[in-house]
Amino acid sequence: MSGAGASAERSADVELRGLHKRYGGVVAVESLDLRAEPGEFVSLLGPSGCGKTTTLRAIAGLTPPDGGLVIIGGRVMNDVPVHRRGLGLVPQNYALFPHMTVMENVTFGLRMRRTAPADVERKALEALGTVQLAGLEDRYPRQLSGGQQQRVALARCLVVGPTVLLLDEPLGALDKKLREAMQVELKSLQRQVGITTIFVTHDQEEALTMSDRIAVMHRGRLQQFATPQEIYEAPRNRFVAEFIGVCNFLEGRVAGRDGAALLVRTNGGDLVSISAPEGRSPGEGTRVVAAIRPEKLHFRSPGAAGTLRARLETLVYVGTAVHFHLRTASGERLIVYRQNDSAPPPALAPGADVQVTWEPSAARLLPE
Amino acid sequence: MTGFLCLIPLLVLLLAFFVLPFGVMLYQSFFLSLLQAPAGSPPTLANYAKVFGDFFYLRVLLQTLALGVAVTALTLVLGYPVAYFLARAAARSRRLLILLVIAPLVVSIVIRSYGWMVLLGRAGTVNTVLQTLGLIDKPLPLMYNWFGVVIALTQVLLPFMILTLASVIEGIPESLEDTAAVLGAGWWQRFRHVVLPLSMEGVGAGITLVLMLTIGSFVSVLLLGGSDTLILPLLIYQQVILLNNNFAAALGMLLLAISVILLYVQARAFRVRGAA
Amino acid sequence: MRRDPWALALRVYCGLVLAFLSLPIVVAVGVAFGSDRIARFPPTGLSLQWFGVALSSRTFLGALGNSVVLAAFTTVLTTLLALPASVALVRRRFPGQHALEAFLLSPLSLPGVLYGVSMLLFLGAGGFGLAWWGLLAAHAVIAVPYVLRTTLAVYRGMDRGLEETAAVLGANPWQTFRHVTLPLLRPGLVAGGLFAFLTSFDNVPVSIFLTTARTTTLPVTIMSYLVNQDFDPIVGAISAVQVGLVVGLLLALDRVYGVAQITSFGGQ
Repeated sequence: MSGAGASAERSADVELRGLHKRYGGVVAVESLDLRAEPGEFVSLLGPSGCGKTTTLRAIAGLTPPDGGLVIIGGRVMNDVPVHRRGLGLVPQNYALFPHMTVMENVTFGLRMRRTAPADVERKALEALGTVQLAGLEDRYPRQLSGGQQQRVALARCLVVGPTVLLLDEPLGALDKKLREAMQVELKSLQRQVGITTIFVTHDQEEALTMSDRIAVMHRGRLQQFATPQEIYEAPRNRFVAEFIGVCNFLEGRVAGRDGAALLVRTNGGDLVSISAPEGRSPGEGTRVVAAIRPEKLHFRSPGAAGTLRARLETLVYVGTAVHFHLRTASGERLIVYRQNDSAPPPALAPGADVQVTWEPSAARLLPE
Repeated sequence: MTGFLCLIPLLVLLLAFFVLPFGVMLYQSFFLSLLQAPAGSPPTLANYAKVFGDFFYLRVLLQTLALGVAVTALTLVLGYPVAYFLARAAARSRRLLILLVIAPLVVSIVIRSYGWMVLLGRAGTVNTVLQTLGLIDKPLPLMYNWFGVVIALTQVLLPFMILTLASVIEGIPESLEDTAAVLGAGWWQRFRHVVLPLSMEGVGAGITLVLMLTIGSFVSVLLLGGSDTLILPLLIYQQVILLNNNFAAALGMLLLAISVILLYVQARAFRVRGAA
Repeated sequence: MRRDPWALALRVYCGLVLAFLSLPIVVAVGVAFGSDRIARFPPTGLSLQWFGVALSSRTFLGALGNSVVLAAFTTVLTTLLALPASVALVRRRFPGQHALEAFLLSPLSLPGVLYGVSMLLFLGAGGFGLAWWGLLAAHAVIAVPYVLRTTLAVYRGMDRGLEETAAVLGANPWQTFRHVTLPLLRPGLVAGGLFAFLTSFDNVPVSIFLTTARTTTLPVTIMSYLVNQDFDPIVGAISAVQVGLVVGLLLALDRVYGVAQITSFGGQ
């Protein structure tokens, strides 16, 4: 495998500065600043239409941006034609050449670069071995399964030793089990080869599983660029909190401070604590919104201080946990996840009044 | 960009050898031949006046249009069921059917006309069979008249109608017919209320196509028609033989006008991609 | 298909119509195998005599040669013109594209007589006379829409991602065209080329005005026989050969490329 293990030095960083692209009256990408380190696995995550594919194509040179710079390995690529950028791309439908065998597909890039024939075959076989597809060289794409086609597409990319690997929702066409298996394989392959990878997906679970860092995008703008943990635990705004996983939102007014935490009187009248990020001190009476993940909420015995009152509407049993769907006095919905561990489950039935609480650091203030 | 460069050779061919010749024809239609007026005479509408002023020529025009209507109607009525059958056929049979419909088209029209001549002539197959069976005493005049022309043209143009219609009918989901059947509609009702209305665009496209092709047909009418089956394309040919180039040019412009109108109607009103 | 009497009636009817469509061709070919002195169907006896006569006739062989050469040149010329044009039309969107395409395809729809006469007048006015290149140009004009249409249909149906992927893998535009685009366009080119060849080979309305005794084509020669009421079975023999060749070609190409699908339901 050309560059196996040693690609960390071959791999380039990818930097986007002020990337901008519009189609007619619609802005696809706006003022995008992003930097992926060499060897890093970065996901571009967002709903359809958020600009992630446009961004990927801009990096590849297939869709020239209207503004901004695409810098790869320290070199400005804006005027470099597609076929000279030395990147690898696996599009959504793999785009295997139907009129060529697997071998011809994989050797395509090498042949276009006029690599010596002896090297061509050797490298191709190596690449096929790396993606575990040895023995299928003479088949045609239509004779392969979806998973096999995808591996051929990967091998085809990697064999030319690109500095960056671009993947456009490559696992979308696979069924769930296969997709999960491929996620693990892709990630380990990427680690092994050490190549900078930009991965486009709309599946947040996928992004969380595979990425070193995630760039969440919405309507052409970057919402947050951070590690999966940070994105999940500390979403920077409502969109990110809602898009990733499930999230509860509490609205209320600031009623004072309690040390490092903020005291907030909810719309339903309860007084609760939430953590305020450094440097933010909204004054008393300001309207605020807090985000709390369902697994961070616990039930408390009634009457305890600093809790939120609610009524249980439904329970959903999902095997590993029970999901409690609640409604507060002010009509807001809350979801509480309780792990099915060995502790006895709370004896709750729909219609019961409950009290919910949390660690102050679990509830985060969102910008308005 | 290089994109436009790629178009240039083709454009040059068409401009030089398609547009220009028609331009010449247009130009020459406004002049009289040397037999009628000295060289250098001013342009005139005399040729056109001749067409519209003489009943003989008007009759030719009418005959052309009438033939168009007759053949179009025949191909529509005869071809629709075949088109339906083709559109609803299973994939394997459909391929064979399409081949059977297209195959006649690739055979030269001259050969096909020859076949008709052997069939329809006085001593031809049809007459011989009918006489042998004792159904007639004298041979029927099946050729060198409108009958022969209409038969031959119908055979030539049926594939066009069939393929155009089939293409559209294929787009009508069979589930609509099934639903109608479940609701109690018999085949005629299904046809009248479901299939036919939804296929109107194809019908329109087929009609304009066959009409256009009939009005421009030449070989079949020349070979299977007689002295009284004169239509516009034949008249033009005649005039060229007689060296009345200018008059032929005027007639040609007339035919061009009719064709362009039909072409425009086809392009605008019926965006169907069938065979042509 | 519903299993009721109407379905059966429909099948029978279609069979009849399809027989009607093939009837004159069957007759023409049948005459060729006849032992009679005149054209007669069905023939009273079987013989290959007329094939012998046809193949030894200088007139017909000369005309056949002319037709083949002319059709071959036409096919090559139209392919060379239509291929780049198709690529240009599909790759970029520009205003007036539809109108331009309609214009490029328009020779398909206009009566051959009309075009033949206009070319005759054009060549006459230009003082070129009935030169062979004029005939070739005319054939190219009427044949090029066939190649253009099928090539456009195939290219439009192609996955554009393939060309993009080739570029990302390092193929420059020419390499992409040669290794990816062209092989995938081949069915369209072949189908179109076949129809271009046949259009030229079979053409009468245009050729009749632009040929001379020296450049005359096969169909024009046959025409003059028939117009003079000469129904010699020799015509049948020639027809049989041509039909055999042409239908065989069509079937072979359909087997390999699915020509029928491309041409009839073109471009859905």
